[in-house]
Amino acid sequence: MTAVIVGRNPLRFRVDGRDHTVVERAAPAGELALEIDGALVTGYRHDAGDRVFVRIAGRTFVVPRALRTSGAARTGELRADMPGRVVRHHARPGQRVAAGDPLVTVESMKLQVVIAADRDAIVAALPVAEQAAFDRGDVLAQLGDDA
Amino acid sequence: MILRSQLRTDSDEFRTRYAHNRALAAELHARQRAARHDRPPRDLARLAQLGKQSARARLDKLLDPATPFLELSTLAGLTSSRGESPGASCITGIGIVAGREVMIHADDPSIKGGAWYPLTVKKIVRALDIALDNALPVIHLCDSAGGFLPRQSELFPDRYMAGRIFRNQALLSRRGHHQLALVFGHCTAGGAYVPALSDYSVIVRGTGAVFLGGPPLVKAATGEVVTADELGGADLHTQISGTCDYPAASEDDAIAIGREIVAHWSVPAKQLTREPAAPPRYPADELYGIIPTDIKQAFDMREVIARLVDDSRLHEYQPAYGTTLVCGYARLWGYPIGILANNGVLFNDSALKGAHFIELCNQNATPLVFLQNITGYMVGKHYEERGITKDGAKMIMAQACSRVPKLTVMCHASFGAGNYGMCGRAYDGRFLFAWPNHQIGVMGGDQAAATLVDVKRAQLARDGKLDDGELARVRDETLAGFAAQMTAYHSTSELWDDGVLDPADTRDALGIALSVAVNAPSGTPSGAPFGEPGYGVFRL
Amino acid sequence: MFRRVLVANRGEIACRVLRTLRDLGVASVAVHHVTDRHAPHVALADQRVELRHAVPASAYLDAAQLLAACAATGADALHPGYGFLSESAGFAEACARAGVVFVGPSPEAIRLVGDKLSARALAARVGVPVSPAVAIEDDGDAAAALGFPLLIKAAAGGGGKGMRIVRGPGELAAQVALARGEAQRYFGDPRVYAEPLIERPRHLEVQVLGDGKGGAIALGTRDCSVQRRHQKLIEEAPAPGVPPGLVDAALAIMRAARYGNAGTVEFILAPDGRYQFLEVNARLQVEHPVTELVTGCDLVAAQLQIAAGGALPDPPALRGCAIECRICAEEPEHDFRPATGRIGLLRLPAGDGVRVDSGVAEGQEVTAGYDSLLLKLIAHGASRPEALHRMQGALAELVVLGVATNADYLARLIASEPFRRGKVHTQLIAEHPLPPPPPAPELAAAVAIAAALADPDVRRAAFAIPEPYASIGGFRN
Repeated sequence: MTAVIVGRNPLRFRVDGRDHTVVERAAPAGELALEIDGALVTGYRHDAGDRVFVRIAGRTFVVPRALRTSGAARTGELRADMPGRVVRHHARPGQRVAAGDPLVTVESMKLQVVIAADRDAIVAALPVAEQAAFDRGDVLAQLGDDA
Repeated sequence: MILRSQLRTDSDEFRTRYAHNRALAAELHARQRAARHDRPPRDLARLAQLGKQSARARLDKLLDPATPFLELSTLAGLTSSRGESPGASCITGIGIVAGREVMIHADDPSIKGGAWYPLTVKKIVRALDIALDNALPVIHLCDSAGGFLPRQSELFPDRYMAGRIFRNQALLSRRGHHQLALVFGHCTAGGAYVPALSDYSVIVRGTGAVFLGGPPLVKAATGEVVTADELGGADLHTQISGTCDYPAASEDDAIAIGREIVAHWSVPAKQLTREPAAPPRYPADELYGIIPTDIKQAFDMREVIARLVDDSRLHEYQPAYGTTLVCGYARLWGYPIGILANNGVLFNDSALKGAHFIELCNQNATPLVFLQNITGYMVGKHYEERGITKDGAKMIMAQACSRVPKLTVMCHASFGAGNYGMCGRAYDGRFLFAWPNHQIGVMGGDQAAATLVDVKRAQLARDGKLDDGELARVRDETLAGFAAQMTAYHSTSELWDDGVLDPADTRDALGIALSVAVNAPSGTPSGAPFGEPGYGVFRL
Repeated sequence: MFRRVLVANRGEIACRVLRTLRDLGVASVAVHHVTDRHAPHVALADQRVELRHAVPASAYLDAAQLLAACAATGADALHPGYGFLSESAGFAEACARAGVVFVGPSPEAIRLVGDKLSARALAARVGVPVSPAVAIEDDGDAAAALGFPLLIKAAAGGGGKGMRIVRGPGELAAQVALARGEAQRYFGDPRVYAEPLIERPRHLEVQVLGDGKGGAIALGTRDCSVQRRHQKLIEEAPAPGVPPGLVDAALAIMRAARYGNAGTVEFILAPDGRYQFLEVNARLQVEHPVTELVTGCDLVAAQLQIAAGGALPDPPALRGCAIECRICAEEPEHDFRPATGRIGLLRLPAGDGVRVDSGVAEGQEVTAGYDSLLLKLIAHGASRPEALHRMQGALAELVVLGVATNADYLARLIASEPFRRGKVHTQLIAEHPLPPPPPAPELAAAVAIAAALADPDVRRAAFAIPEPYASIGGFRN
């Protein structure tokens, strides 16, 4: 169930086809004080990014939130920013990895960099073998479907 | 002073006018609805098949919820191009995105793939002119096949044609007015420069593409066979060419990224302070009962003002002098304005009063609002003796050189030189709107027909071939031609204005126009750059 | 008393032990994996030592690093808490070899009572009823002779892990194989045994303190019947309706085992009123606070005193009733699957008769790497209704946001008819699902509005629309 703003002065939200007048009162961090249709509603709230936790009337609700993608490429291809050499593979094709898991360590310009998974996925391929050289723009890791 | 309305809402006259103008407003809304939404089912199906949303759907998601959108020139192209380019194949208007005032230009992919017609170019150029004049950032919603080739000569070569779009983009950027392009579909040929000249660009993976020549042109030119995505898709432009900045997974994602970008833009300070606004004391719909059913009938413009300005308050300047021009200070949606409204033909005194009041508003940094119902400056020997022409010239000089924002509403008639004095389209007003009953021409149709019949009669008499049939034909042709060309719909179709307004919407439209107008420095004569006089030479 | 005690644990129990050390004026050492460096137990200790390991949970199982930490800090005793190495006889021996006092029973006692089969034999020897269990050698044919349904358990098990119910002979072989696999994985010992399954039993236990020389006292009983996935969720002390002889049976076992320090003897009480020995937990238990509240005895202090060679305290009198709720990061609506997240907001209840044993802090990441227990609420009252009432209030007052918890579920469970009337048994949760009632429209709207107003984009749209646009509203010309 989502709340959509339908008016201001006073602020009005529409939820499930019904309009509610809302006044937000000052509240300490983490707390919530809303006057909804004249009735004071207090509680707690925490924004966890992909979901919002709301505790009202002694009950905790977890409201999922649609997040836009990072804006980064989502083709599953992790490409080299500069030419270099693969030092080590940390995963094997077919392996399930979580966002942030290391996939490949590469060395370019005397600098070692760990290429990590940018999302939960299955490793589809690590096209450049250990110790092999690659060029800028080469695919170092290919991630498959979201795990 | 609070205006006291003399309007008799229980009179037959009110009822008749109300019904008439109400019907005109309904006709306006019906035409707007058709221009916005009526498309061949085949074209809509094609869009859906590509997974694309309509330009309107994109716009609704881009704008902040429950905020106004002042659409400009909705009916551009209405009476031209055999009606095949409704709205001139694009949407322009002013709205709120992430709390910022923005100008929006959206291609309409449901009409010939969003191809640009001559009037499309005119409408986009006008939108960017407004952005330049009013210091507005611009969001481009790109989805266009490029210029409509069969009519390229009408949209490409001249000064105010397609090149002007990109010239305006460059100037906007130079002045620090942000531009964001959201590339939903193709940006082909010239259209490719829209994202390229924007400060920020987002491109939708799969459907968005930017290229100078599309796949067919590339194949014709070099024989190379490539897909649109390979040639100018999201990955190419965000990973390799750097032409676009942000790849988006979907149209909605692109809109979300765009809103986030806009949220980081600084908001320039307004040049004027706003006061809290009280609504007018009379309902806006009574305007329908004020406007006469006949273009020749007069009405008291104070009745209109009472339904436009805050708390129906007008401080009238020189209330007893030059009474055919009502001048005075008021506030509209909290912003100070100086109003000039026609209450009859402009005489010497009304022209001088108008010129003086315009100077006062410039000294006072007060935006001007012109409410036109003008059949011209008074003619006749007596008035020429008194210098009606040079007095009219003073008013035109004062108005044309005015440095405060100017807004014009065509409330009824706009004939002859009165159009000039009252800030017609040629005078770079920030905005010009018209009501559906509005008529415009160098003179009224009857006068034009009479004038032409006189000229013809003299000509025929010289030749000794006086022919009543021929004179009747001249009269009828002139009347018919004027009738077709004088309507508000023809005006707006040709972009002689920024749109036809339902009279009841005028206050809100002017409020938005004023709000953006005060973004740009007004400049006053006293504040003119050193050495630059605020005015030309007045013929005194 | 000891000079310095190292607490070889984390979470709420580490905090719990560290607080008593502070009360007693004994210097303390906390250990932690780098991922726990901001955890509350680290801040509570006088000194801290980092344990290194690629897998965070394994750091707390590394005996060598723990003993090195004792040597480095001069700790002369080690408190293992529960879980991890608390019931490892080998670790207790290693401590002894290193000259560090292990605060717990002797390695021999751990071995004797820790192995379920030898513990059963001991109980039977002192005349305590035990279930007719059969050790499973091969595919479990012998077990089939007990009849069905059967319960298969790991010989080295505990904590509900490796337990399997077998309803008929057809499933036996497969379930035995699964149970063996789990037993090997969890306890490094594939031995399993079978016993007849008692339907809807209660789970009772007796808290015992032993002196290691054959002396032992009981500190009352606990009812721990309310369980999910064979793991306790709500415990109370004293257990109502304890059959006569049960406490004495527990003492007989512990005395015979020459058990030293704190331990718990667990029993199964069948609906017909007959009880049988289940197992001994040779450690401080999660649910020990309910006993502390009704006895007034600090069990950690008692453990330390016994380990330091002190005498057993006098058996205390019992006062009132205490209830404990385990607040876990889990989703009751999805079969209690563990939940993860970051604790973004934490507000703990307080007040008369309310105790909170918490091991978490705001900002802490809750991972799947450890047990899902976040904190415990314990309520004490003069009567069971009063304790329940206070628990109800504490659950309402508790705020844990950022990770899903069972707190609301526990509130519904506490308020449910069977629980109020004390009609508890180990299958209660499985048989009485308590899904959250759909919220009233007003509440649903309030939640949706509150959630929307957490979004910066919505807040901007709500509060940062400039005039006159805000007043003009959704105008379209």
